Amino acid sequence: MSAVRNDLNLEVTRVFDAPVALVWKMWTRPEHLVHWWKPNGFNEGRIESLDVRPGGKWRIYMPFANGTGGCTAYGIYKEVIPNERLSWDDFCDDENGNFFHKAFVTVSFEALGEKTRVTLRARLDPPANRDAKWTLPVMEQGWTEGWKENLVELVHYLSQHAKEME
Amino acid sequence: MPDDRLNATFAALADPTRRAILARLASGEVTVNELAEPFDMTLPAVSKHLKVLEGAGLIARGRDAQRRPCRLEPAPLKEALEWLERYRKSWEERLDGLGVYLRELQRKEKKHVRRKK
Repeated sequence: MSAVRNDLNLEVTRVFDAPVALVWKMWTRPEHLVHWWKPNGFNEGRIESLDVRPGGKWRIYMPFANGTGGCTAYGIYKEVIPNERLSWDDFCDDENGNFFHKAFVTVSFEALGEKTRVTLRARLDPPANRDAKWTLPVMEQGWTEGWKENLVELVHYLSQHAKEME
Repeated sequence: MPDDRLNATFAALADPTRRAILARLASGEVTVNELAEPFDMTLPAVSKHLKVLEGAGLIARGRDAQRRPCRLEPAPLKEALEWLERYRKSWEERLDGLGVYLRELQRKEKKHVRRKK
């Protein structure tokens, strides 16, 4: 039996119709990053730091679109290999001490001629620390409604994720 | 407290036996004896796991003192799922946004180059 690693993994891939050098710039230049670093439910953020080098800090204030405040995403870059790989700690909290997530993100860039494949892998640490006030941003409640019908699937789905902890 | 519940849910899910118990309960109510059988565990060992699950609000137990049937309480699981999926979605949304931004950027650049010629 291997030790319990309290984390969960996810992977998201996209192919962009742009050369790898340009796509790399999107992730490493604040004037570009600010335009797309905006999940649903957030307004355009304020980049406070984007020191893209190993050990460099990044920090972005992300205001909630509903005007009830915002949260700060921040961390430290680990690997910075131009046009190939970028990795960093990804923390997110707010001024009231609510903790939204703690993760480690690795983004790989792969040139496909004039296109670029981006693969984002994240290892999410589940809320195990009782000192932190873990919570969910509540802007989108109800979007998991579909699961309500099928408990068996829900448990299996979560178990699949949880298995990766082992 | 929803925050504590999220902590407790993941702590409970971190154990493979407890996940197996939840999976078993997902298909309906079961007594402790019925639960112990497939896991090849003693009743006290199963009870220990059930206590953790009960503490996390993931299961509820019937009042019948003899049988104490267990059933799954789905609310904390849904919260955990929502937490996980929210994070995944936030990346998918950002990457979609990056695609839109890149297209705009390249369209503008092309226009600019054409004007220069």
